[in-house]
Amino acid sequence: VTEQRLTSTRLILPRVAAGEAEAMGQCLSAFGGLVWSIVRRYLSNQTEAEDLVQEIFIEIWKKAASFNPAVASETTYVGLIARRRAIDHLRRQGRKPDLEPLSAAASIPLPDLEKSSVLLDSETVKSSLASFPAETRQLFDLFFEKGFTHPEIAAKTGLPLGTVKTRLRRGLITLREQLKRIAIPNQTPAS
Amino acid sequence: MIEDDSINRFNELCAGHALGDLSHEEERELAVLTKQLRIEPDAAFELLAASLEVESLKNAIEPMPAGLEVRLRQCAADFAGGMPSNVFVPEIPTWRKIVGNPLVGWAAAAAVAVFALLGSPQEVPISPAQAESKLRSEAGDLIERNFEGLGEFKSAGGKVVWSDRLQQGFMTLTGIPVNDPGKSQYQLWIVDPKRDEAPVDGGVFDIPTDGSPVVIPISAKLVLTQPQAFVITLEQPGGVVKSKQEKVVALAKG
Repeated sequence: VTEQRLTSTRLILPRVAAGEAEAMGQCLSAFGGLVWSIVRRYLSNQTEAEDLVQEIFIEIWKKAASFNPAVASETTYVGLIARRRAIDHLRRQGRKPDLEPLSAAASIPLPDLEKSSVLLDSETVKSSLASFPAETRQLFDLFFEKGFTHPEIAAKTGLPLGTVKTRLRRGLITLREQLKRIAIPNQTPAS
Repeated sequence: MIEDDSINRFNELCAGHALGDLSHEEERELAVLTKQLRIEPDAAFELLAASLEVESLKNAIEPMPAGLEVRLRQCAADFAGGMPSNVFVPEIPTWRKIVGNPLVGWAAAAAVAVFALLGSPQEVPISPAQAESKLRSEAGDLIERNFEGLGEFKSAGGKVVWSDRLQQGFMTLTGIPVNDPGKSQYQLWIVDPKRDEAPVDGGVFDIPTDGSPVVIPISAKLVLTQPQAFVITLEQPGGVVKSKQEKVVALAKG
């Protein structure tokens, strides 16, 4: 199904990279709601959110040429850029209680997506997650699905803040390890 | 064993980075470990986090506000035609020294007007010179500054143009020595204090011909709000994340 979808649908980002005006509009139609929804998770102020969405789309257009459908779907790639920028915005604003201002964070190079140790397939991700202990799944659900912050999760679960942080990190590491083990030759990502 | 511990810690910090939960100290620790272990953070962490977040939003996508969409469509129309891409997020808190140095005056060197208007380019890809002309004709908010060569690069000169609205800009450079890309490369830094203390990396480039004007597209990693200065340095091949500013080639400010 995935391969059929990939071959039957013209990818948008490569055409954006080629400067196709029509693709620019399609990019907005396809991903505008997604980018807006991600940003709204992180920013409550409407004006700030709108400005950030504009910045994100400029970045998406500028980085469209770096998109590689063999590594991730367009949706994930756009989501990655939106999420990274939203987190960066909060970091710069110093608003997130457990994050501090930018300086040191800025010294960490952005990872090269081409060198990702796993290729993404959302179905595989879901099935891997299903094998996680209930507590980890709950933490993932609260963090990713519900969009709660670490302190909010700590309050809801009664776990110490440090434990929430550690378990989420280890959960992500375990997920990566599982996907690496499952690695399928010539795997194509799902959208 | 020690190395295993370091790698485990490195992975934990990479995961924290992807989750956006690193403390200031942990960010520093990750930067140090990255250097010590000579490995880059695995992009898989960020991809997984993004994938999970996107998946969770699948049934909860909200439409953009109508006004924002209109603005973005206008912005998209402006952008159609070719956009530069980019690389690093630098950390160089000491750039103000350069910008604020009164010795680095800016009685600008004779400007090099090489902006040949080549007509309206309709085809892609277009050359940097054509793209620069296009930008000049379309940007209503263009700022233009002259480069002045510094130190051993006194003969360097040229101009830089930048549009905040289009987030696009070009340098037209002269008098900069040809570099051997295998040994060193030029790197542009953009000082935008309104946005951030650290300058934004404007991309790495080469000077292939000696003396003749070269048009270089600016590849700003981050969105600029009000650039105050553009600084060219000579760095190791591929550029650097943090410049030691050992060889500052030219400065354009104002």
